[in-house]
Amino acid sequence: MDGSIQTTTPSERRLKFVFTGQSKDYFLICLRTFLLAVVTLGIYDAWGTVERRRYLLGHTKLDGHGFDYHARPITILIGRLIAVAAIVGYNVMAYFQPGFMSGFLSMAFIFGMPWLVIRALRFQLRNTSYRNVRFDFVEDYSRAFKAFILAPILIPLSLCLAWPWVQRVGARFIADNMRFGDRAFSLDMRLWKVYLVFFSAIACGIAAIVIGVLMNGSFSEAWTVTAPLQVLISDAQPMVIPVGSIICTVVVIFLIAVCFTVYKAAFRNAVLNGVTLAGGHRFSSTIPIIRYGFTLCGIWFLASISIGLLIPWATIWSKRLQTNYLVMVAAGSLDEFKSHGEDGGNAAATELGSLEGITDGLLGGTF
Amino acid sequence: MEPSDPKKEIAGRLFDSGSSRFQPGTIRCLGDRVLAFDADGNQTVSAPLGSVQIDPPVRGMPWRVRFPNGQAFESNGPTGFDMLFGREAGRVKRFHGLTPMRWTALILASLALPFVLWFGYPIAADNVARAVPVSLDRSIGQSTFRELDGAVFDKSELPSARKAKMRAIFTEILRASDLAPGRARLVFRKSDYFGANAFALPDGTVVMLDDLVALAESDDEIAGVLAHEVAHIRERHSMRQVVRAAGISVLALLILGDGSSFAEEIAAMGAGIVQFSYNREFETEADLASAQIMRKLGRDPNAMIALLRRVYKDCGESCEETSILSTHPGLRDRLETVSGGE
Ligand SMILES: [Zn+2]
Repeated sequence: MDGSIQTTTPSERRLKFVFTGQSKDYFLICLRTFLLAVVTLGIYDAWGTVERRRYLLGHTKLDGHGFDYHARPITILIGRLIAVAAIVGYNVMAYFQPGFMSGFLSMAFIFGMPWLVIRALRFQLRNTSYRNVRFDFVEDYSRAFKAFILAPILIPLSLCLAWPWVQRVGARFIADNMRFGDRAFSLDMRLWKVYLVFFSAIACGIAAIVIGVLMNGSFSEAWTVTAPLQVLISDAQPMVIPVGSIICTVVVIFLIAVCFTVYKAAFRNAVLNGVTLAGGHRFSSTIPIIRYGFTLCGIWFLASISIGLLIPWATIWSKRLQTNYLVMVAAGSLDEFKSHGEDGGNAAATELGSLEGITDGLLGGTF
Repeated sequence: MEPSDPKKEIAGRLFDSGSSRFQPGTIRCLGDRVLAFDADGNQTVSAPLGSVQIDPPVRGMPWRVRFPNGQAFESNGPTGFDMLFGREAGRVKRFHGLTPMRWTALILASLALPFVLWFGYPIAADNVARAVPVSLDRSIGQSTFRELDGAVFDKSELPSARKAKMRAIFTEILRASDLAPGRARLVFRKSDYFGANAFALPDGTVVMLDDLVALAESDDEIAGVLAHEVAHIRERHSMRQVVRAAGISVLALLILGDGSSFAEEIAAMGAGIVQFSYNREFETEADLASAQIMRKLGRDPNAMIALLRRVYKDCGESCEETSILSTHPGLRDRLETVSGGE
């Protein structure tokens, strides 16, 4: 096998991840799937979700090959119907037994959440492939419970100082249990750089709030508009709109979002720089965090004031920013990956995949 | 070896079974079998068409064919498969990409949907509400009454002669309203919180508050309000409102489940406006029924509006007009409803 020869030679290849998706194509896909979802009262959105994810993964390319997504829409639809039924059932029960149900919900959340997270991760990863080989996730409930329930208790206890550390516990749990074919990932990440950005981001956020409050005082009186429109029938008084304060608040919120995004980018860089794939493969992520923070927040600010019309465009831009700074440092060829198990990589993951949202948040740093 | 027909051959990458290793290759369709060949023209796999998994491309992606033995083929470009697989490719491709005709149809259907829902949804929800047993209305109404009675209601301070007179009117109205006997009862309370008002709870309790009675100048005014509340009970407006509201939440959850938080906020606002319109519809229905009962009893159906005008005398013009953000129609519209346009 030439693969085994190459792993012993230190011939490292730098393979760039490239995102080739186009805003116009993705916009048309989003528009069509949204309209079809509307006319089918949401049913079609399961198909739409698969199509959108296939587009985003298919245009994420490494070494000339795209990723692919194989979840069956019907599986996602069933999962969603169960989720809707659970929410409806919960609300009906809560109407008659409010005390019992709130207790039940908090218990269900504490013990059910880690289970849901690992099931969802497994569903998403098993349905994601690259070069005919599937990803996978090994279920480990007790470690998930520690990572997602016990560790976060430290966040309020430490006045948020433990946040990056807790996030690393979660990231390490995900990386250690993630597989590509029969190869395991592992994460060995240093926190000092992340903490540097974390404290800087907090300082900048506080500075933004202080400056905002000071500016607000001088702005708010000079800049108000009296609206003649009458919103409530019983309330015939004209409304006073403090334009100055509103602008100040928006700017402060924007700056806080930028600080948060800069921190997230730094964490993402640190995770991806610390991930290794068995066989000597490494990754390198060099997102310019400050530029990334401002660009991403600017894009999503425009998207949010466009009643959703610019969301496809913002999604493509975000993906481009995240993907194009990612490099795989491959130890030799990528030919030697094998599917795990006897299923030959064709096994359909039959688990319910109702929780794409959760995994999107957790896997943001992986792809 | 089969004579190769270049027209019916697609070039791409052929992956080893369950492996990331690939070589250039081609696939062909012969009868109902799919065959794959390596670069030297040697056949590497042959499988029945029904057993291979064909993944059609989402815009710009290659076609992928997965064989049951774990081998996979990936086309070099997104074209050519219609020719190779004919109907089979058309079947898997159906929903990917739309003709201008279908785009038009889809946009028209999306635009028509609000109208279908606007007229169809209340009818559907009312049918569901009709299937809910009345015992549920009772238990909801009783617990609501118990809660209100402890918190915001005080004992009525009306003289018992006045109460007895109103009870007699209430009995008269019940008889004229065709409501099942024992389905409604009248109670008197005083409330600083609600002031001059009257309610119908779903269990059939009609609550008359002292301040409203104090403002009334004739029996007909009281009778009109009682008939309005009795109509709410007879038409099960509370339960219908609950079912309609619940249905709207489920619909919003289904349609916007994956939507952005901004879209959800817009939807919540829209849902609120729709709820108000349902409430006004029920009020109009109760006003109509009240007027009908009043005429049957030889009483003045318009008297109730005179009482309401006295209640809202400080409110002026804004209570006369109907707005999309009000729970009840404006007084001018309500007068028109009860007077039957006379
Ligand atoms: Zn009413």
